[in-house]
Amino acid sequence: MTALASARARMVPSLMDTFLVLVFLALIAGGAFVFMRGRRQQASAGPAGPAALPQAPAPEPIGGADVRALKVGDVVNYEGGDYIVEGTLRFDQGGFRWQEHRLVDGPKSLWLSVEDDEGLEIVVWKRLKGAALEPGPGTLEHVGVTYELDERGRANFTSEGTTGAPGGGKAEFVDYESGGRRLSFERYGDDGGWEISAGHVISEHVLDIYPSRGAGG
Amino acid sequence: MSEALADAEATERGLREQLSDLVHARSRADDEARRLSQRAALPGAHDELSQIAGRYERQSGLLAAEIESLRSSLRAAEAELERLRAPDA
Repeated sequence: MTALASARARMVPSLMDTFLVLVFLALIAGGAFVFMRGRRQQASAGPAGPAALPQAPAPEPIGGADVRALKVGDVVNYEGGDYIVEGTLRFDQGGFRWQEHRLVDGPKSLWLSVEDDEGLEIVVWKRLKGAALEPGPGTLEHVGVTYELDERGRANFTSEGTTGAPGGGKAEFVDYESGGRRLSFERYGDDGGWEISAGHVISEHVLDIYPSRGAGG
Repeated sequence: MSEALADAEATERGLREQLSDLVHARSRADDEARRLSQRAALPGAHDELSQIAGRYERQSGLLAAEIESLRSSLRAAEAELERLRAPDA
């Protein structure tokens, strides 16, 4: 065998090796693509249900509008009243968010909190004026109801519209509960006094929302 | 999504927006009626203030009737939407 032939003989397996390596890399890339696409689809569909049960369809927005998208200017029909959302407080506690909306229908006003944490919780609140209550103890009694301390903490907030709170900052809160009843203390800024509210959990189905124009949702 | 369903959703959304507009308009009329009535009750107030307040009250009443009529239309639109969303529609 000449030197040239010997070199060619060495080159042929070398080209084959290169081809095989390229095929191998293509298979790895293809597998990675299919795997990542599968993960994205799984993530967008939510966690897999137990024993691969079919996922329940997402609920239709209630009354054609989602209470989670409520904003200043929208109208909420509740217990026969047409309440205008005059202000909204948006809270953020380390990524966990909730909203409190000030609803006004002429001389009537109330607050509506919307919290979506392991299920939607909507609470209708009334501000208590001059209530001789202070947060702190594990239980509190108010108009014959014994409330138990649920949670206390601080959250960042922003204010839109007319809320009575400053435009934004830190808020401190202490929440008590008794079944479906709620008692809440909130303080905006370091030198603010406690705003005390009593509320009760309601079903989103009792609300009918009329979004203001240009709602986009 | 079928064209009929898209139309029904647009109708329902439009009715809700109209209701929102009317509720705002009624609220403004109520506010004006209340404000002018209070001013009309002040000593030496012009007689015309009561008349204007009365006009706002009538306007509020008309808007309230319109709101109820629109609410009925909304209920009908919701029923149609449910019919179109039903699996066998």
